[in-house]
Amino acid sequence: MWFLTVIFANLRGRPARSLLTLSGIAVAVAAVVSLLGVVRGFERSLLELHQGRGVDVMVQQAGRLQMTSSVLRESIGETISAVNGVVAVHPSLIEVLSLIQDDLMGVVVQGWSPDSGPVQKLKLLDGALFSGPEAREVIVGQRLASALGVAVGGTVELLEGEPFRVVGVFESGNVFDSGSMFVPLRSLQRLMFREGEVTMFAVVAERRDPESLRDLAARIRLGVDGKVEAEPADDLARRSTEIRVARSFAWLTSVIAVTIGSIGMLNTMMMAVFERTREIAMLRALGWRRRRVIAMILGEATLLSVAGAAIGVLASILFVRFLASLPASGRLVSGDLPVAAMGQGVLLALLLGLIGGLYPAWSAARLTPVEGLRHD
Amino acid sequence: MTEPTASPAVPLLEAVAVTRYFEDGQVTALKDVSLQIDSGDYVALVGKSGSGKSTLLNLLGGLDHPTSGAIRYRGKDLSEFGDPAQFRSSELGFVFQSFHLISVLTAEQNVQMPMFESSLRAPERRERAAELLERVGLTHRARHLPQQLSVGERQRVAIARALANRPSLLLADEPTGNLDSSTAESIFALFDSLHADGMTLLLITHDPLLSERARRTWTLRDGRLGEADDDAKPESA
Ligand SMILES: Nc1ncnc2c1ncn2[C@@H]1O[C@H](COP(=O)(O)OP(=O)(O)OP(=O)(O)O)[C@@H](O)[C@H]1O
Ligand SMILES: [Mg+2]
Repeated sequence: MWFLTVIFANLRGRPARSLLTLSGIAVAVAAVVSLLGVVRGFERSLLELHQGRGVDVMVQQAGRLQMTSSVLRESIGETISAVNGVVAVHPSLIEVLSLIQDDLMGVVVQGWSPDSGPVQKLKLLDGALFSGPEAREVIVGQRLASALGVAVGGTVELLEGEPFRVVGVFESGNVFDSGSMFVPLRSLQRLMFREGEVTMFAVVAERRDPESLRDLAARIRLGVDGKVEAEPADDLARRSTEIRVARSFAWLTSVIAVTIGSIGMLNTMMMAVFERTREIAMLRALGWRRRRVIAMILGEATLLSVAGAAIGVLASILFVRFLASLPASGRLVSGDLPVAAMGQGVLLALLLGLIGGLYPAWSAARLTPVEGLRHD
Repeated sequence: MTEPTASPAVPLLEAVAVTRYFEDGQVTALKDVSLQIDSGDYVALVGKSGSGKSTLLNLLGGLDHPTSGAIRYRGKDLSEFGDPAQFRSSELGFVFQSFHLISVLTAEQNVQMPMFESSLRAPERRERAAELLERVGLTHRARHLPQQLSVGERQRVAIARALANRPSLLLADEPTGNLDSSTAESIFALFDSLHADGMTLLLITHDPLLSERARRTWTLRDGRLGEADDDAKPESA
């Protein structure tokens, strides 16, 4: 018989309790892994968003927390173009419209000029690009198209009584992009009564290494009198409020999960030790050293954790796939989990086992055999 | 197992003027007890309930420490053994009134439990457990859980477990206290045969039948020892 056999037998001998603890840990791990996974997916999507479009530096209004609330005069674009090292400048107006009933997030509508890089680089699954700069046409991301239930040839009402024709459906590995739609800049400005206004400028740079991009961003800021914020797209994505909020939310949830999980584990292992007081005392009388008693109790906690982690990670993979398949959440959640998030989940479970098992193990080892044997 | 010696210079286990108080001196469980156990001894410890029998056994087995006095194993004070657990593991076997088998492990696995503290490897542990179960006549029960065994069989498993690491001394606290008389009789017979093989035994018992079978009988009265030594008995085996 191996020592592991003893640990396993002790858990199997109390199946109800072991299963309950195991599922508690699995739920905690699944919650944390899913959340971290979704947030990581978010981050990655935001980072890739700009890379995919060949955008290097973003220019927006200074002092705005959220990009969508930034307002700039379109004419600044010419000043930016004049800055040394700038290859191209694409103005963009971004609106968040409520196209779907009871949708909390709203749909991102991006206005770009039809000949701009981001529009030209769209990977069309169906249909064609815009017919002209003022066309009342939209190109819809694949995930949004399925959420809205529209296809090429259909129409979308951007505002009540303002139908736009769907001329294309594009594909993007990026959940944000794929959940949004493109409209010609002029048409969107007219529709929203915002002629001459844009949200931001996407700048294509001559030199693309991080150092040069930061230099270029600084020169743009100076060139436009400091009224704008210019930042390399990667830095901006990394710092974005949405990501920071999501990240702290994920961590908060993790802390709660850890707390609840370790209390559950503590409870189980404490019960296991208390119930087996005489058994443990007897083992000590038969010559087991303290550290072997500790190894047994911690081993039980660890085995529960590892099994809980495995089930939890599996559950989170299925859960995130499921979320990605739903029309409502599919626009935000890409179906695959980063390995790092799974690793963090497993680490979390081991931590739970350690926290929840350490005190009971210590109190079991502290028990003197005589006290334990008198315990009835 | 240790060879019994006619008159050993150093006793196997000895207590010198051992006193044990409890509850800050309000309870005197043992008072000035001195005794010697030699290799090959077969001692019955008797006395009324509360007379201090278990307390004495626990002290001799290193499970408890005397308030004053000393316990010596082969001349060495127990407090000099770095880890008393290690001493118990290699030198002693314990048998309890209520068996204390682990309910989720089979008979054979229960017997292996003390061996985790020995140098035996897994296959050797299994082999040794099989030998021991054969010794107590339970080979056919090796794979049964304790609740599938009769009480007498459970105590046999517990005795096999006490012998796991080839101890030189077996300590038993009312080993037949939970058994009916015919089952108790078969356990006595087992102790007899272990003694015949050279094992040293110290048994607490209420059962006059068992104390009669032992070579010596010690009686505790209110924590004091009076030896009703029976050297007149012919040495068997
Ligand atoms: N840990 C303890 N704390 C307080 N008192 C104790 C403790 N252990 C034993 N005693 C007391 O010491 C005395 C002797 O107890 P002990 O258990 O040794 O008796 P015993 O002869 O084994 O009795 P029994 O035949 O009932 O098992 C009793 O009065 C008991 O109450
Ligand atoms: Mg007693």
